[in-house]
Amino acid sequence: MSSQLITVKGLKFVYEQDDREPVTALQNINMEINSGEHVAIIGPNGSGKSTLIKHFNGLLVPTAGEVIVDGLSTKVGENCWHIRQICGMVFQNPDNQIVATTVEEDVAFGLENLAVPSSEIRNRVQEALAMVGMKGYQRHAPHLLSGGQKQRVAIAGILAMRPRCLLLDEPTAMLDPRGKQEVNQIIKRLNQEEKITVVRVTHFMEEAAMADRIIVLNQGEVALQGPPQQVFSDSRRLRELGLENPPIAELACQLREAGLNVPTDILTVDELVNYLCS
Amino acid sequence: MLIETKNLTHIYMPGTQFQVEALKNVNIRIEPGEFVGIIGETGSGKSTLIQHLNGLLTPTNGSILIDGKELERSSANLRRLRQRVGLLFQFPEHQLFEETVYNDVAFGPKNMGLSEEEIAIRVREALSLVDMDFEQFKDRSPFELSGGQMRRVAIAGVMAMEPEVLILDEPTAGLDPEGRRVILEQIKKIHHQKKLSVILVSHSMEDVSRLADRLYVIHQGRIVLSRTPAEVFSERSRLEGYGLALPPIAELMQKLKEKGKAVRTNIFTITEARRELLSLQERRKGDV
Repeated sequence: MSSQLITVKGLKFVYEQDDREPVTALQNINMEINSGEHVAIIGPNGSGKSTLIKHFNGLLVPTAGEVIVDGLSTKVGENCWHIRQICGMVFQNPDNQIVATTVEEDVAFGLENLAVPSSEIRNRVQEALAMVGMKGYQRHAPHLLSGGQKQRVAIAGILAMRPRCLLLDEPTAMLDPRGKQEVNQIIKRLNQEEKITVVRVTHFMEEAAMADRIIVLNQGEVALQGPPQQVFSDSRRLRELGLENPPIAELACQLREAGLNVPTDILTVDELVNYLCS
Repeated sequence: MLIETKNLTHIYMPGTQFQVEALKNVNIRIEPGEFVGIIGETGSGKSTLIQHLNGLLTPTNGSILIDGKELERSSANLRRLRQRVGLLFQFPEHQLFEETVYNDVAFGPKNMGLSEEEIAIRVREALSLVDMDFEQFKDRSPFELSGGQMRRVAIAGVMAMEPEVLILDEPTAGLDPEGRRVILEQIKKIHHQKKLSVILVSHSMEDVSRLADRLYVIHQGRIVLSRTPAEVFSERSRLEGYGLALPPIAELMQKLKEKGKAVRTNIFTITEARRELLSLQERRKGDV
């Protein structure tokens, strides 16, 4: 098995609109996403983040260039089903993704459409709910759950199809701190323990800091990429791109500029506390 | 305008099996010109509370006092109250509906029965409050704007009614860092220029700590803390129990303190933290 799960070659995407000038949302995009990797895509509003991630399971098809998922081009219509089983997508608003009246039925929805036998569906639903820490909620009504729980149910609905890659488009944007934390822990665990590849679009720099690699988009092109420590070490460049360092990385940067010998890989509160107390 | 609630209790669907007590004996007081933050996790009662402040919801028990007088719920009174207290809901861009930015911002003033000339003046001023050029934007469709711009048009629509109190429910949700910064700065500017009271509802401690003079923390329908941001943030473990996370800088200073470092803990901006940590370093050098 090749370690490259998604390959993007010379991707360009143009939104055609009826009565207006076409808008080029992405161009000159070349990248690889490896199996097991955790990648964060950041960039200001309108930089093309959501457009890009929608190419990874064929929801959008390149105007020019190519996206290859597990060896299959998204341009070929019949590859679509296979690609979407490999790469499942979770969106921002959990309320827009819930379709059934019980958690169990909601998680089973994708499997039913794949005509999986019902005993198998039951097993997979239980397995998926356990993976997101929602065991025992089978009979609950999804609309009465908290935001974080709803989003975990939405993730379980994707996991039940046993994808190799989770595509997450701002999955915590509408959640409160507790909900964010719940979802972030699940994402981290799925990546580290279940070895599921994660590609997540986010506006929260602290979340991007959890990834192995950050890709920064600006006006439809890749402006920067690298491990978080590297991307967050250049706060001036980030600000030019309309982004900002996570607060702790920014503080570490400023202390360094003031002459303190703070290491460049500090991103979290505990890391900075440990350094300052050592 | 002074707004108070006295023993405000709100029960949704009373007498049914779905009965939920969303607010329990809430007493708050917003002074004229004050900037107050209301924080609490999802489901804590924040939105229920603010919807009482402009008469959208009726208390199950207790009362709302405007300038010391109990609010009488006649339709004329409520209409007048809603002009004086402007409420901006979450994701207000979903409420834009007119064909042009001008018409959208003009909708409130038009309903107030103002003349065309007065409406034009108000729209122009409201757009300038949110830094949107009148000529450039007035004829554009609100739906062609960026998310951040749409949100600013929605704020302009409320400001065009010239309210005395502005209530904002999660005004930065879903925006990128630059969009968040711009909106927060504009809210600060509006508060400063128009001398109105602002109530900012958020679960982002970072946003509210930058702006508010005072915070109410709400948990399971009760007000559990009412102090300055610095005082509220010094209660780390309590806040965690309420499902709230400290801004990272405040968390850093508290953890340093817990480890025995002589640092102030009423700090939550990068600039202040930098100054404090550099002076700590100087002091340490002095000791050696």
